Amino acid sequence: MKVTGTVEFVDLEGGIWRLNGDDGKRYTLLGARSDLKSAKGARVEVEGTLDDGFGIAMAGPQLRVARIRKV
Amino acid sequence: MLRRMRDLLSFAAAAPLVLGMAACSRTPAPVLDPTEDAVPGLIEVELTGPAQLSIGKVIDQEAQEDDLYGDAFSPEYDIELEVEPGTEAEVLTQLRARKDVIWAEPVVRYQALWIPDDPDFSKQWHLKAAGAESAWDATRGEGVTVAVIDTGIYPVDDLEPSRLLKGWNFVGHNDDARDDHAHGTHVAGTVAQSTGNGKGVAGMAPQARLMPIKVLSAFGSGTSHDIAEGIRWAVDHGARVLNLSLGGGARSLAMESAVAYARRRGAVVVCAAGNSGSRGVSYPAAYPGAFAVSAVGPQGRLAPYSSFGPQIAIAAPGGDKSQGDEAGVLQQTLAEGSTTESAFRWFQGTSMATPHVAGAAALVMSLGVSSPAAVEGLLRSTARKPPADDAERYGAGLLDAAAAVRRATFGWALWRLAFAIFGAWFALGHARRVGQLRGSEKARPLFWAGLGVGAGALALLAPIAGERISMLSFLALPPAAWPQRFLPPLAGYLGWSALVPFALALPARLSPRPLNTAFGGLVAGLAFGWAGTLLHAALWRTVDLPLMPALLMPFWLLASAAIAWAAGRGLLERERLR
Repeated sequence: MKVTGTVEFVDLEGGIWRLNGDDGKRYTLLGARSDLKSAKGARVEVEGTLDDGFGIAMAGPQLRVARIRKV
Repeated sequence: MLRRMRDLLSFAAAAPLVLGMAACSRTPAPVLDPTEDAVPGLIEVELTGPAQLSIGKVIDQEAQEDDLYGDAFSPEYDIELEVEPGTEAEVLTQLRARKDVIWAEPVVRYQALWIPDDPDFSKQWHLKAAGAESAWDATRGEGVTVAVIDTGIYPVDDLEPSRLLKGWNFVGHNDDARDDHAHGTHVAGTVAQSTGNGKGVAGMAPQARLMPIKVLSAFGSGTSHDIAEGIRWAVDHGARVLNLSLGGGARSLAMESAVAYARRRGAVVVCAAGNSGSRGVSYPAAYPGAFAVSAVGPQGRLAPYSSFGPQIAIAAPGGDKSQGDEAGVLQQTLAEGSTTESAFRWFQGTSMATPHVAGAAALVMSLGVSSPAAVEGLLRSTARKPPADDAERYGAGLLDAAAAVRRATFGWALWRLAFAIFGAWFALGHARRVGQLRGSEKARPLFWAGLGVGAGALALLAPIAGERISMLSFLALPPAAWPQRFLPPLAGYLGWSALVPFALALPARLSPRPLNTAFGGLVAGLAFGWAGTLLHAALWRTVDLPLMPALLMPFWLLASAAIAWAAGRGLLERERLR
């Protein structure tokens, strides 16, 4: 799936990356840490797969990042 | 340390004398003067009536009854004053010279007997808020295994290697359950960081064993299947407390049945409520059988990120870094971005609140409370009042490990002792036989000693074990609980039955006058004490035994109590018949 939104670093559980999606949902982003660091605060389009949803973040759906593109 | 203990004991001995004298004369002696225990700049004054004090700043004042030192018919005025530090002695002299001052004294800090020497312990406000310090005077979680079902545990240097068990990695399917994220190691630190080792920081239950179960990847995510498997594996390998600082929004039947399995097998399943900052507890915390934990900040108010809802059982410190880094939870874990270097880091989240509760559960379980329902009930019933009467946010209240430990040692020992003495009195029947016991010089002290030991009255002394606690920790629980604590689970039946008093009463009965022998007196007392312990365990439902259906448990304990009591009574009866 593809979601657009802004990337945010949240100081929770030692640090999690979040996409505040234009669809109103907050996605926890998994993987691609270096890409996410450079995209911090930017508007991006993330392509990836929604996973089972269990983890340390416990704040909304988890999106496993395959590709990330600034828009 | 020793000096503090000595001071405390001499204070305890002198207090009634001082109070007694003061009560007679109604002119109190200046009991407390500024010492190293005094809080700098704080003074408490009691006045006969409201008055303007020209010295210092009034922090707190209220009218209250003090019939001991004040007037028995009218209230007095109690004022807490802030003065320039260093001038306390001078201010006290001035105050004591005033006619309307009944008494004035420095405000003194009362401390737990054992203060760990870990240099950064003072920064761990969250352990103090959870009541760890005073709890450590009676137990440090000896003999209990806590499974940390998470990203694994990295063997950082502030974790005692001998307490880190072999676990399992359900992500990589091997026995290397080392952390590659930092989350699991941080959580494990809160449960059982090495404490009193002069290094780093402390943990809630520093003598508990840690079992690393890796079910989350280096990204901190995992599958319901692996988590469910991890729960079952941990319980099958002896974990009594499960810490699940993880969650998700989807309900998984596999995980739900794994939680039920763990609970049925005698484990407490402590779960994080979630970090949505809104109403809606995540799974597994929301399953029946899970003990859901919400997070509070240093002031005890719900942290802004914490999820809440009707499933919340209790609230614990999870940090609130919106008030600064140091309002987070401090433990040793992997350094940022590293899988080998360690660092002390401030984290926040309901994941951080959860291990405070898991650690407290381990402390309580090491006191011989083996039923998960009893552990949960104890933590809930001793929780502190939350800032708002809101069960969806705070559950039963704020975790207070010290209060839970105090009840399981002091409170319950008094009940056991009361039951034992009542049982003995009932068996002795009437004065003539009490007189007989009085008459047998040899047996009398041993009878009462046996009764005290059997009823676990030594738990009353547990807090004075201080630093020697690791060696003496068994004293904090009744002998009926020893086999379950120190031997494999099935050995629990040795203690939680009438076997020991019954087996000892048989040889004691060989004597024609059992109460005239030291052994006979001891065994008779022990049997009544044991019966009191069993009765208490039956009524408070503190015990779970393997293979025993929960419904039958109280009946088993009641029947055992009756047999133990009969064993003691048999010895008294034999004495009387002579």
